[in-house]
Amino acid sequence: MDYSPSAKELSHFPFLKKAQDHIKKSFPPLDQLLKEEKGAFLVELAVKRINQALASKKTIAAHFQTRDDEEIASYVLARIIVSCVQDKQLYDRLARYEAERAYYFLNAETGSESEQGWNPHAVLDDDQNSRIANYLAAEFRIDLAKDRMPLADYVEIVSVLHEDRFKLVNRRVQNGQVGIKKEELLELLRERIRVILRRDLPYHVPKSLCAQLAPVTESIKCEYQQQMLQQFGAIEESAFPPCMQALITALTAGTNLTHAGRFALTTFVHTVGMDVPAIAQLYARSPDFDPEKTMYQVEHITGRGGSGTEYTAPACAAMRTTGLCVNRDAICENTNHPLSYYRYKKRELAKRPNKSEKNEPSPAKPEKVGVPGIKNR
Amino acid sequence: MNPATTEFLRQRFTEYYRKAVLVAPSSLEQREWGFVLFNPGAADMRMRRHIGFSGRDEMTGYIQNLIPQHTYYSTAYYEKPDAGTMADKGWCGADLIFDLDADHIVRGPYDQMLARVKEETQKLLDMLLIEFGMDKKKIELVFSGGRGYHVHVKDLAFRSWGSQERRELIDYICGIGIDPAAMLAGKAPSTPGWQNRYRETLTEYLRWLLAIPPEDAMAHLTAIDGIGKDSATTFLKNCGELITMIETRPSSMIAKNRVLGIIVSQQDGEFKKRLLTRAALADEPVTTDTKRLIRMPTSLHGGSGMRVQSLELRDLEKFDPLVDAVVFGTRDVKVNLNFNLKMPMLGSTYELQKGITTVPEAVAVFLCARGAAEIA
Ligand code: SF4
Repeated sequence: MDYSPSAKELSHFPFLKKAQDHIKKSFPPLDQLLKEEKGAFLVELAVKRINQALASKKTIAAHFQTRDDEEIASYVLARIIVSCVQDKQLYDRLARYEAERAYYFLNAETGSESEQGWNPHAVLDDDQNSRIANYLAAEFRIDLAKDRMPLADYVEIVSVLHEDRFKLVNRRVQNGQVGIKKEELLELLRERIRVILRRDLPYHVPKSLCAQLAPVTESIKCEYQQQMLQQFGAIEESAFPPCMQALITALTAGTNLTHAGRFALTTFVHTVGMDVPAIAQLYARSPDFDPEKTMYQVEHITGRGGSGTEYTAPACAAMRTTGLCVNRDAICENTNHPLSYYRYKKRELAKRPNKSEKNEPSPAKPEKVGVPGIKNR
Repeated sequence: MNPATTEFLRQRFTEYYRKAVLVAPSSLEQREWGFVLFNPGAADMRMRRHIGFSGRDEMTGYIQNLIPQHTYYSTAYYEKPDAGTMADKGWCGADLIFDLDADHIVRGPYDQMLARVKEETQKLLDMLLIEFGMDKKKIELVFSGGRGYHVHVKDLAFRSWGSQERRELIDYICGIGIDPAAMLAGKAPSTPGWQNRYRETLTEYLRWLLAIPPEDAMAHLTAIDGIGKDSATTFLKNCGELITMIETRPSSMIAKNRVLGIIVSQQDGEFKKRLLTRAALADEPVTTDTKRLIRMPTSLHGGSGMRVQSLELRDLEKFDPLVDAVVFGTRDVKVNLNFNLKMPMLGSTYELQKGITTVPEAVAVFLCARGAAEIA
């Protein structure tokens, strides 16, 4: 192919290998650059990018009125900065943002009747895909001309998506190929970009460089924590999804939870903001309560222990596989994660504080309530 | 198990391990090993793990020297398999494992459990080969020595996968998370898959409803939460039309029928039961766990005395564990049996009475290992 993306095209998809080659010669080494005025300017751009990634309502602007090579540099710099912050959720957010951004530009390339596209030079093929779209898809190993993709590639993309329609079991799977609809291709490409960009984070950034960036990383950390607090705030047990309510009920009733049950509950309450002693207290209701062991387990799961790994609460799909998804209600229909259930319901409760309990979606009849995660002994 | 019985088993195992040709797993040096030893006094099973071998000879020597009751290696590959903690081992990937264990499927006499689990295994293999398009050469089928089969898939394409990716496969295999609308949308493909399985189950179920006495059908439907008398009557009237629609004009709209929606989402309902007979009931946690230990093929299963036996996929049909995985002979051994028992082994069926009785060595090993008898 004799097509080579233009600088403008590259700046819209700054993660392309070509894009980074493109700026190699434009800037001095990073430690040097950061001392210059230009460096400060680029850092500012990068921070804008990260703030975009953190914002709950994202606006995607083609350019922050900058030059193509600066745009690309800000992408790289943003990734370096979050690597210094060392927060997994931040990596996730940034990767998702970059992927969404790329998706937006793929769709907005030629524009519509009302809006002008960003790429007046776009040439479309028979499938209405531009050259840069095909180029980008190829780099991410997706063939935009096909209505299926290899099983392994597909699973890698969708395993983190929580929508039922993407689950492998809901797909046509024939001889190692998974059927996809044309209109889903760009969506899957977006997810693939996200997976790959996430996989490469964090970068190994030299300590000295992180030190240079410290003022910036600190302020991002603060900003982010503030945001998390706003999102979850005070713990509202009445907004817990039915699966978690059931686990707590079971605990209170004096039943021992299975490992999966304990894990799900602990990670959940931890994420919504319960601290370790409070969680341990929750378990004090259980019959085989052993304070030391409980503390150990809780600390392990919440990452306070030596392991350093912080586990995330399982999604509904995982809850279903382990038989912990019980008493689903109306909100569950549009939920793929117990945490999003919580966030949603909490918001709803805040909106109508006077509404009585009766108006909640009614739970299943008590005698039919399955007690999840209980070992039958 | 009393000390004499333990000693008897240990000796039989010793005899086996002296002569047996042990087959090492691929990438032996990257695997972690775990062993449970014969230990009559101990209250619980203690596993020696975090063991690594640099080669086949070291592995064989170790096993011949130790005569373990159970022998396992990791499905995972590690940089340092013998490191004391998981974090230090340096995980570099894992085989993809499916575990079919009768324990999770049926209860009953041993031979019947084995027969049933074999059916599940066949269904699993069909899905792996036909639907997932996996390479036969990369699949190793193993009789577990106990109540089931292990399937090891050693394909680089899946090796680096975490639990989430593996979950997609096991959910597919087990039919978990099915969306009715997706199942009913569009023309069904000509090859096997969930759309076909789902539609077959649904029409089969609807035909069953029409075939049983109407009052039974009514009773069945109204017993389901959320279905009243009137909607049941209407539904039964429309059943025939629904079948035609599913078979000739499938569409996701069919799933919008309220009563049908309730029927197909009922947790332990008739429909689900029928649907799950078309899934392969592999054990989910085994597949999603990327750090499991699994029994070593060619070792002996300490709970049965049978061999963990690899077999060719095409041999599954005629494979009989109670003949083909039995390694001991017919020498007479006196045992004290805890209860009356009828069991087939090595082609004969033994009807045994509680108390002291003489049986072939192979049967004695099996009964003692399972805790059904002691050496007399
Ligand atoms: S759907 Fe999700 S949130 Fe609702 S009960 Fe099940 S696991 Fe919990």
